[in-house]
Amino acid sequence: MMRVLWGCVQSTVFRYSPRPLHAWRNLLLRMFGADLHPSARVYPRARVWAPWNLRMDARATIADDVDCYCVERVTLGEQAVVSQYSYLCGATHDFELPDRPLVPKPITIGAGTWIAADVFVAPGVTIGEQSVVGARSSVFTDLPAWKVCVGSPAKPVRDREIRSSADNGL
Amino acid sequence: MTAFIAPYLQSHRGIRSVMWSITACTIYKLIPSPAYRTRRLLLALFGAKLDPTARIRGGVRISAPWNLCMGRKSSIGEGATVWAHAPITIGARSVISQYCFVHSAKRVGDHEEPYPIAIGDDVWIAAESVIVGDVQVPNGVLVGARSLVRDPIEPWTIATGHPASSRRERPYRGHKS
Repeated sequence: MMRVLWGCVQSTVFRYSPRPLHAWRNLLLRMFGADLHPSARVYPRARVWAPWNLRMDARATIADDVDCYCVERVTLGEQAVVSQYSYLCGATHDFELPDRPLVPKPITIGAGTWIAADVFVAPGVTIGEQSVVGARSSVFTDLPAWKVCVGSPAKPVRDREIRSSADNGL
Repeated sequence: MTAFIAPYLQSHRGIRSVMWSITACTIYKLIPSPAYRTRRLLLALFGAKLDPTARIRGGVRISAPWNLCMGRKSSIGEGATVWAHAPITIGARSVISQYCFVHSAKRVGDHEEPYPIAIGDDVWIAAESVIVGDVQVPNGVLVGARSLVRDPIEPWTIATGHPASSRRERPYRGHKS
């Protein structure tokens, strides 16, 4: 029932809200039970399956065209970013049984982690804080903190270092 | 200009393609996702052979419905793309999940040639997978999310990877078809 109601809201006032109105979309999601920090941003073309399963901390962002299939809890830590076209897949099916019942599993994305464009995140995955997942990667297993991970399946390739912007001559 | 368009419109196939491309971006697109029956009726009108229990969700792009054939209780998930240059057959209880890409053509030399795709019974192609070219997916295969199906796969196995290959046998507590 809530899903139908949310579907109507999402395809109208949410979808066609002007891009800078993050506070408005934040409010809509919170009205449907999302646990959002007031500075969390969800862009208008993102699709959230069930806002009541979504939790976003301060400055966490979900970009346009992300499909957040949150049948189970999806948690984004502080300043975590999920870029365009990514797919947070929060449920699988038990393929051993002929009627394939739905098996929801939670997804946790640590603080400061950046999921780049068009990444697939499988059900039940936890990604550590401050990691980076490269574009078009597919994440099937848990990923550690402070790593740059790429590929299908995504694997850590090197440490992530954060320099201050002064190092870039800014 | 007319000389260029006329041969297309005069042939029966040409008219059908044009009519479908107009329908696909208007009426077909506007059918709400859970209205399976309406969508089935419209696709059947364009020659799709769909079982009355087959389900196609909203946002599925189909280039040529006349090349699509779906068996009992089979389904295609949201946002999938079915590029049916050649016949695509989906068996009973088989599922093509969200955002999959099924392309019944293969690149031969410098051009693409249509090649049929046959998907057996009890197959599950998980989300965002790609199936191209001249492949037959046998009964009971489970293709993991984000895989590329290009090469032959063993029946009743779990296949993953890019390109996908059979990794292990699929456990199943039902009758294996």
